[in-house]
Amino acid sequence: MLQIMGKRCFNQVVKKRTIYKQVLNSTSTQPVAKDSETEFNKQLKQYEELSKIAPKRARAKKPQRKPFAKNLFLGNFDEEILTYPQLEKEDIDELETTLTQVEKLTKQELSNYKQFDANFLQNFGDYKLIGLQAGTFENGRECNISEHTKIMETLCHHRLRNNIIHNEQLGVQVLVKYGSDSLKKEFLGYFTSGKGIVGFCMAEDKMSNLTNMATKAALSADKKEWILSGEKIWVVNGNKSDFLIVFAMTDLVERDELQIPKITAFLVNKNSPGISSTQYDVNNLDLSKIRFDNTPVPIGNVIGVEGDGEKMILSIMNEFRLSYGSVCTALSKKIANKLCDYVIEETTDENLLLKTDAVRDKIGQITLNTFAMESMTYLTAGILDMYENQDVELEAAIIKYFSSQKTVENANICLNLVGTPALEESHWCNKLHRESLKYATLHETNDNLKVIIALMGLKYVGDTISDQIRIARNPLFNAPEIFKRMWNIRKDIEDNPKLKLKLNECLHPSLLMSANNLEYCIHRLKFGSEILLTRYGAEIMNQHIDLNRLADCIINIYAMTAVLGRASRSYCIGLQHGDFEMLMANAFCNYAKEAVQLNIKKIYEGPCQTNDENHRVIAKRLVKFKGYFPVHPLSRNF
Amino acid sequence: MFHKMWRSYFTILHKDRNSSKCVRNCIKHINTSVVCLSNGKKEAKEVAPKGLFENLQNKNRDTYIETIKIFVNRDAIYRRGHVDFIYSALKNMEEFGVQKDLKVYKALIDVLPKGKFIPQNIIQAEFMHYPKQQQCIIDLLEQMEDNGVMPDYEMEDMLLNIFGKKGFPLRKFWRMMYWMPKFKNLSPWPVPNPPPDDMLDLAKLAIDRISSIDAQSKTTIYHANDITDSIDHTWIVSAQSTKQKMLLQEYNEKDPVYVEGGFKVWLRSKSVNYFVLRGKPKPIKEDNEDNDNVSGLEVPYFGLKPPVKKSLSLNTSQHEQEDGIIFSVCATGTSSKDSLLSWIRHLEKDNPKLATIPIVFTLKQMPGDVTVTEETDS
Repeated sequence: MLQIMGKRCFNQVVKKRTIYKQVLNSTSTQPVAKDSETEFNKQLKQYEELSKIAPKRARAKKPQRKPFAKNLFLGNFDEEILTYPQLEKEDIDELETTLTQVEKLTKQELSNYKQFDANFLQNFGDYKLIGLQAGTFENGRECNISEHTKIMETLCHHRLRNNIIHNEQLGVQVLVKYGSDSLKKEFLGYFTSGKGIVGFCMAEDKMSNLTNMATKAALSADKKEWILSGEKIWVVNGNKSDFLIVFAMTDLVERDELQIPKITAFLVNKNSPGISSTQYDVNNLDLSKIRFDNTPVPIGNVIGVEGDGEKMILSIMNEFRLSYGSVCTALSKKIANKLCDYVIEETTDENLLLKTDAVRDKIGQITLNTFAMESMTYLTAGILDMYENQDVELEAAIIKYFSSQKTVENANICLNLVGTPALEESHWCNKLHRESLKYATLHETNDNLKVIIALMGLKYVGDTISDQIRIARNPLFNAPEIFKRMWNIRKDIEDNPKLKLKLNECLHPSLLMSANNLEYCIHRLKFGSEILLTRYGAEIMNQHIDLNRLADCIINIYAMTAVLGRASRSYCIGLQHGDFEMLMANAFCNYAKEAVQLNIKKIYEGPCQTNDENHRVIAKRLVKFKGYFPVHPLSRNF
Repeated sequence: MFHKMWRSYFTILHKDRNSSKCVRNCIKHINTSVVCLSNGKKEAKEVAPKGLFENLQNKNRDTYIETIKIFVNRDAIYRRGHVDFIYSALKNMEEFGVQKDLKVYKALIDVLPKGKFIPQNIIQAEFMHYPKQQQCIIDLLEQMEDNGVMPDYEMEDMLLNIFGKKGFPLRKFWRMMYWMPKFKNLSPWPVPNPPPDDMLDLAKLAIDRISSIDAQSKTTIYHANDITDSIDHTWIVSAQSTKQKMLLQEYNEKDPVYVEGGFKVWLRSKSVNYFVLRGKPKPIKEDNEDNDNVSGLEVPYFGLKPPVKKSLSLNTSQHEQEDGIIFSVCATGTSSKDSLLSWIRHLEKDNPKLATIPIVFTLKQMPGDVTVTEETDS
């Protein structure tokens, strides 16, 4: 335990905030006050306000570490990550007071709101709940990511969670992170006070990559405006929004066969000429298609640097994926709580629902799933807070996949347990189930994401051990190395890797078994990714079935890491239910190990012993005959 | 001996499953070799009551059946010359248009007397009892097979009653019943049997078959009437996929495109003339990607795009061939140059680029007004 606490020490470096300087400068460079008394009072008031704001304590970050999840593919485990991150005592105290306010707000005062509009948002603005990461001088809270995630989770107790999270993560947050000072000055206050809603326009019909983005922006003749035209789809809050963040192609650089698109983000007033929107027919979600016909955008409304859009999209998507962790955790907790109430309610003397095995099994699963997604979310947020500029794109994608997928699973379990009453559209269970589906499908489907997860890992592996793979793929040219390799992987082939990472030394001793399970899985993952790269080479890009399996493994391994670290910490510092967290961690690791074992076995066996090849052939046939092809079982040939 | 031979053919069959012709040849070969052992010259059989079928004025199914009835009733007891009668009936089937009619074949088999030809002992059974009669029915079955007529179980009963369970015709029947159902639905592009008589339906089938290379192809039926100044008022069945539209859009407008044809495509016994719109070939990119190099894989962040190369470059489509890019394919009611011109005009509506590209008509044969031709010799 001492070791754990030791690793947690933060060096507090007090650093003068640049933002503080800026504000002081801006006050001093203001024009000399006129003699009128009102003007003077106004300035005085402004000054008083500013002097009340205390810049937050600067939080130092540790130097960047190697990406954690990506390194798992190579069999390297960064033990530091097993130390579950935590907030400083004073931070958590402050956070908790905020959370009680937020909880009161979402559960009582705003519980009747069904429309996501400025009226609703202004309540949030009053409590500074929009643009959480904005600086204190911009009416924000200067939250770090853990705090941000936790506050979002609490906000997501409200039924409009999808709208809230889109406005925050894909709207205001973009401005907070990338907006220039002048843009922030002009607009950020407007949004953080909840007076306006921001929509995020990125997706397009038939856009398979950024090169064929059809929305284009060009400078007008007088170079004072950008002229924007194109169509964007799936814009959440599209109808109610007052401003839109639009990504458009401003240039396409062609070099030989390569095409490099220059994407730029714009902040567009929804009332500008040439904007029309049509709403999709989606239940309880404001989802729109928005058209731009030669819409003028002032040149100052470019977010970030011109042509930097691609980097922005990737980084925003990371944080957005991470935010799915908080919203899905909130939803899953709600499912668990509601189900618990339901079971207690329905239990009678004759029908002891509470004590049946069937119900216990299901409730246990839901709790375990929720526990895992919560652990992963805050582990990742903590990693981001703790290390400078840490690469967590893979972790974020894992969280999006895991949390949304498990939330759908939880809702399914719940639907099955409740049974017929849940068929009613107004039933809580039905509503939650429909909502959970939205998280699994909106913007990017989980199937798609899984392939991305696996490829992110394999890209890292490929870049690192490209030479080894080349040798392994050409055995006849490299006989000595091949024999060495055969010797080295002999234990992996027997499915009995040697455990040598000693992960149990970083955890509570009673987690020995699970720590060993985790290590086993890491070795298997390494083995699996090496097999795939050796077998398919660069062609691995197209082997989606195996990529799916590999993704399943890394997802499970990351989840195991998170639950083990969390449970160990809770138990060591004696948190309430710490002993049960240990139990849940062990239970989850059992599950995960089984899944990883099976997946790697299938990867090892290859397409012929598994059903992969059969599926491919059947699918080809179906496409050829453009539909279900088998003749009816009652038909006769003669 | 017979079974040994059969087995050797069986192995050949396995190597080339698709060709039903091969099977037929095998079976023919077996039959003739068996016949050669027991039977004399083929010409000797053809002493038929001449002119029974040939001299008829109305040649259709009814008169054919009527002729068989007349023969049966003429000599109800002995039915002399029935083998010759059957041979001459088989020969004339196509003229009466009954070569695909199972009932007619049954009526012919029914001409033979029942019971007389059943072998009574093992020696008779092995040495082909009544060889001339047996061979006659084997030939009849062979003709059925060549015409793709599948026998049914009633025919089995008839053969059993005529030749007994050791008879060669019955063995042939069983072999046919084993193979024919297996070949019946083996075609990867099924065509209804019999194929439709309507030329338009037939053309649709043909164009669907040709364009099935790209699952996204859409078959459209245009009418030449819709084009002003068109002379031939006929239909045009045309197919084009989104990829082809894209390729046409990207095409260099200085290069001409060619309308080529007419080529023939067969649908069972009927053929359809079709034409293609072909452009100059693109240089096909050499696939010199090093599959062993796994560094620098690109993650497709915005959706799946199989099949992709490591660098996510686009693969050449199946429409881009070494000798040209195929932009569209069509069949018209008249196959005339004017109808093809109407086709191009229709395509221009979907592919505005086509209006700016020079079009060359290189029609190989004189445009005639027959699209659908019936196969004459089998």
